[in-house]
Amino acid sequence: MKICVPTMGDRGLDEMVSAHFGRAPTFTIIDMATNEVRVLRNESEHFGGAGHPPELLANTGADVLVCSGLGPRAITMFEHSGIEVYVGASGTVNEIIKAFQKGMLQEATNENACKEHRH
Amino acid sequence: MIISIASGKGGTGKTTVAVNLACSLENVQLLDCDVENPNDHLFLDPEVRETKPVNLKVPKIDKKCDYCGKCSEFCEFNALFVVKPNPKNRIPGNVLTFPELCHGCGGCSIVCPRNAIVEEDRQIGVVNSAMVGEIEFAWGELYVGEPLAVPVIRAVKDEINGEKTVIIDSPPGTSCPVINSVYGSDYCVLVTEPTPFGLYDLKLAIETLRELKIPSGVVVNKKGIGDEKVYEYCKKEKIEILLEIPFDRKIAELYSSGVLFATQMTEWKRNFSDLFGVIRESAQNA
Repeated sequence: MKICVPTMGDRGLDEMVSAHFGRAPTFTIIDMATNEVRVLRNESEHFGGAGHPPELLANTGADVLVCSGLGPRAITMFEHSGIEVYVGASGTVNEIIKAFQKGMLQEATNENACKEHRH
Repeated sequence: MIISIASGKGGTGKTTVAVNLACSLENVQLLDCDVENPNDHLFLDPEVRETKPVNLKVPKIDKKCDYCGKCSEFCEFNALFVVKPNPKNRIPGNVLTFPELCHGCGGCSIVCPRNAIVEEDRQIGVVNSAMVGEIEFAWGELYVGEPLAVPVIRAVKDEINGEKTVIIDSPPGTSCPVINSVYGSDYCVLVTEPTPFGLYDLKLAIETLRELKIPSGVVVNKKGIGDEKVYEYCKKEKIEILLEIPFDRKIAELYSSGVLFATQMTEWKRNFSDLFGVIRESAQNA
């Protein structure tokens, strides 16, 4: 299983989660089977590039996205891309993976989506 | 002749100037382009003669789609999201459209190699028209929750009657809706109030109009409040002060009950028709 976390930089497992999903500078992807860590720059529309961030992540083969919060449009896109989304994450990637494995994070729904994105 | 009324800052008196000017002139057409918050009609109490829908063309994806992704690659506004089929997750291909992000350019249907995109109408607002006494009047209404004002503004401007003096009431600010409202006018009246807020946004509006090469002058509303800085700025920049409207209790009372003060205070009817004379002369000399 591959887990993706929107992150602030390229420090891998020690990197902090980004509070804003779409504008996260990087995405850190952890392959739980091999412990391989990959850092991807966010080159989506929010940084002058093209495409939605979920499009970027769908192409990496990620199975799960764990983040602090995200908008309803992004949730819809992940849903259709077959990527599960969990919200409420905080701290470093390492801490987040532990929290996720213990089942402490909540699955994203339209109700817990960030309201300010509903425009 | 087309005269637009703009301001920079909101609440300075665009509507006051637009509607009072319209009712002080002959052979006039008034267009309310503040489609996100039209209020000229509150002062005119029009009987709607015609209501036209304003539609935007949005993409609809056909079965022929093979999820190549060219449409979403092309779309500058990310109104399309292509889910590529993924047998591993048992995900079938899909294309999500976000009509509220679509600007209706039609580019996706042009770049689609399989002709799998058809365009369908999505209504985002209306344009109403009416005759109020001698005033030919039209106003746009953008539906609540819709983000794109410009298509409705353009539809209001399609009503322009070249045989009349056209007064366009613009929205506040200096963004796309304002540019589209004032674009093509022979003269722009900037309404400001003599306060630091009024001045700050007036400067932005002046810069915008200079960029658009539209001659402009200033109406100072609520004269008597604030400070002298608007006057100092206009003097320094050689901007003509076309008219001053005092911060006056009677004017405010009439306004708050939806009555045009130019119809109740005869000197103001004259002031507004004089304003038109000044505008016409300035536009000709520009």
